[in-house]
Amino acid sequence: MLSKEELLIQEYENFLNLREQEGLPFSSKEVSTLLKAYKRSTKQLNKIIKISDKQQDELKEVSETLNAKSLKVQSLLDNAEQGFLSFGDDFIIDAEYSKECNRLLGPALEGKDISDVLYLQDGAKKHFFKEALINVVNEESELIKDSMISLLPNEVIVNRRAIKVDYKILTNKTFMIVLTNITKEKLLEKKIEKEQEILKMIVVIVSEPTQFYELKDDFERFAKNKRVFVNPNFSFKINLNELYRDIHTFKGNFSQLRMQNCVKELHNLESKLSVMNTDENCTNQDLLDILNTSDMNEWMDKDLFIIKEILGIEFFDKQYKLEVDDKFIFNIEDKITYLLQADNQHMNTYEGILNEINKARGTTLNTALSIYPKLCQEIAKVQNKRVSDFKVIGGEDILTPMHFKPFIKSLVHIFRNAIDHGIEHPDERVEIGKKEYSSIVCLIESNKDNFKIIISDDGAGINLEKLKDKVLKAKLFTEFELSNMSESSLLELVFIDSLSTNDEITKLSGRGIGMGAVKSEIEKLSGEIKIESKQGEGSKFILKIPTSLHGTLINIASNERDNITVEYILSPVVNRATTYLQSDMKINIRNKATFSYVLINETSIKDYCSYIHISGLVDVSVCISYDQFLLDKLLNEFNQGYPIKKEDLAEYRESISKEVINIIVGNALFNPYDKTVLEITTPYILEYDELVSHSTHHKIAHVIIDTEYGEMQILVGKF
Amino acid sequence: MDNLEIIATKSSPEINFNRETNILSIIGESYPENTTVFYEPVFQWLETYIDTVQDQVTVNVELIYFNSSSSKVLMDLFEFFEDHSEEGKNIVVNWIYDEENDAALEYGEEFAEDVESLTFNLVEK
Repeated sequence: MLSKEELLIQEYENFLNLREQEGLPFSSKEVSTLLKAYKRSTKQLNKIIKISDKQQDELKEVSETLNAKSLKVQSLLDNAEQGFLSFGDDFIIDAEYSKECNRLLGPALEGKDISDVLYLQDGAKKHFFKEALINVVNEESELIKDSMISLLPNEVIVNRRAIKVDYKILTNKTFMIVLTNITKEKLLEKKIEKEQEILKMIVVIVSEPTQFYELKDDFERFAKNKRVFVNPNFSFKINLNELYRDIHTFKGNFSQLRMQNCVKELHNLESKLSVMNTDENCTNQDLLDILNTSDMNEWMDKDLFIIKEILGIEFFDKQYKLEVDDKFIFNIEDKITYLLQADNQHMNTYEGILNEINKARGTTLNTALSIYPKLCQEIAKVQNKRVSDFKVIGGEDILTPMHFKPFIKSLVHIFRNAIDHGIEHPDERVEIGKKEYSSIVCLIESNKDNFKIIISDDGAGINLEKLKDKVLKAKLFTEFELSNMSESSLLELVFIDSLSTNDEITKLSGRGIGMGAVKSEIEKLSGEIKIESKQGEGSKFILKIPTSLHGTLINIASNERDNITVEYILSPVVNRATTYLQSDMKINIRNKATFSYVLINETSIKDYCSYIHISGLVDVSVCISYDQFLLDKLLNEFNQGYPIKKEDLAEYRESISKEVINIIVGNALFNPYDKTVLEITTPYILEYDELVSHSTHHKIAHVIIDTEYGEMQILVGKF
Repeated sequence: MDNLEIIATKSSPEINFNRETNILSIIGESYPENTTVFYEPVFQWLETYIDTVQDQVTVNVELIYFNSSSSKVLMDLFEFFEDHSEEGKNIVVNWIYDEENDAALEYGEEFAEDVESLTFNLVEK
């Protein structure tokens, strides 16, 4: 298309041709029009040049300012101690980036793929990063875009530096990231965290010193005697399981006291043991080797050093005093008990003293369990879960006998499991209409026959399907067997060692050890544990412990005076005898053991009886006697059915009677950690007349275990 | 006859010539690839329009950036209005510029120099 001027020029060229042909010049009018057009054109041209010059000046000025500005910006960015770089949707880094980027991510970044630079070798992370950014590019809603960006990884580690990454979308397809070196902050954060951990440990230890001293002693003994735990008479599996359970409980207890270094070591050992569990070729020797190469003695050192640094060496001196106190009280108590039996007139006074001593020495069940609410809060905090504050209800009038301690300690697993597996995260809870704060209830109920500890939570309950899966995977039961199980039998499966419904192994639980420990501890006390669980609504653990054996000694309010020997000697012996008859000898027990105090000359001793004398911490004898039929049954089991000549029978009966008491008392009272506390003689046989003439008129503790083959009688006292 | 409406692009201004209100606006930036082609319909429309209009015509020009060929178009445009105002049409041109933009004011002044009968206002935005 031609412009006005061009049209005019064309017209005049035509004129010019025409005039040439005609031999005539232009008329003055024509020249004037041409001049006018020329003038106009020149004027326009000048104006355009003028405007254009102005525009160029302006452009130059702008570009100079821009250059200066961009230099300034570059220098600002270079000195900002933050890295700025941009890249397109091909992830290739642009040429313009600040110097800090080189310091943080290495030289020559231009043209490199940002994901390669940030994630080096980690293919999975690279993939995630790219995918996430592509999603951001493709997303149209600004709101969703922003929230997607907030999900992008905001911290990376490159060349051992912690780098914070902020994302900005520059244009539709260009991203900018701002990199900040937060290595120092991270280190500081870690240091602060560590110091906080130490502080927490100190606080727990100072507020629960007894627990600390006991655990320290327990573990020292354990470390010293670790070889004892590999019993050559037992299979590797049994030894492994026992050891695993002990280690797991230690770990739980140390973690309760926040002794993190020790927890770490135990966790490592546990991991090693769990590898052995899957290895069919492992033997007891391997177990011994692992124990021998573990310097358990030193595992507490780091934590103890810190404690010593902060609390001073005196803190450990106090422990020594406490131990003396304990034994001291022990002796006083024992003496008063005998005075009480001999001097009926001042019974009330003695009882008063005993109760006071008991209170000083022992903790009530309520106090013993009161460490758990605090622990629950701590575990919940770590896991970002919320638990309402709660207190242990009841049990203020129940004293906790010494031998209950392992049981009390084992309860840690129930509380941990409740939070680890039961309680949902707050978001999840709110979503399903539950209160944000979950509730855990720990209730103690008691009557004259037993007491119950009821621990319940309002979490997700036990996932039976998951549990079944695990059982199937572990090949413990077939699918058919499982389908025929009642719900309560299925719930019982949680007690199987090495089974847990949590897929993730945390430092605290998830290895499936734990619930087995609770069950084995409660069984030592002749108690039982029952689980009620409703999916989505929570779980309830009901632990029932009979007081028929412990009752007289645990009820402060009771008029019956507790006897130290019952607590330390009779209960474990009776429990052991019961398990021995039932589990080892497969003899059914018809009635629960009955307990009473008797005078020796008022009771009849059965025909076959043997004695063991126990000295050291206490000074008592244990006597076990049997109905003949029961003894012969035991003999038969021992002899594996081989017939015995009539003339040898008496001798055999005598030796089996000694053997059984040796096994029962030995197993019940043998403390592998500490052999000095109790000394047990070899069994001997004593005639009834001899016994009566020996014995004082002290009351002795008397228990009858009624079996399908007759009675077993256990006597404990001074005779 | 319809109104003339051309939507703005990155390199061409929005043109909105309304024959009811007799307000003709050119707003935006002007550096189209082929300036003559872009503005041809504008001139065509104006040729038809200017003969029919009786009332006052207001021309609002608000250009942030224009290239050299656009400045030639502008001169042609103002000459067109100048010619018609000489012939008795009542035409007002408002050259609208930003307070911050000194250069725009200067360009307006340059254009204003060439007109006599046409009312050419320099209007600060």
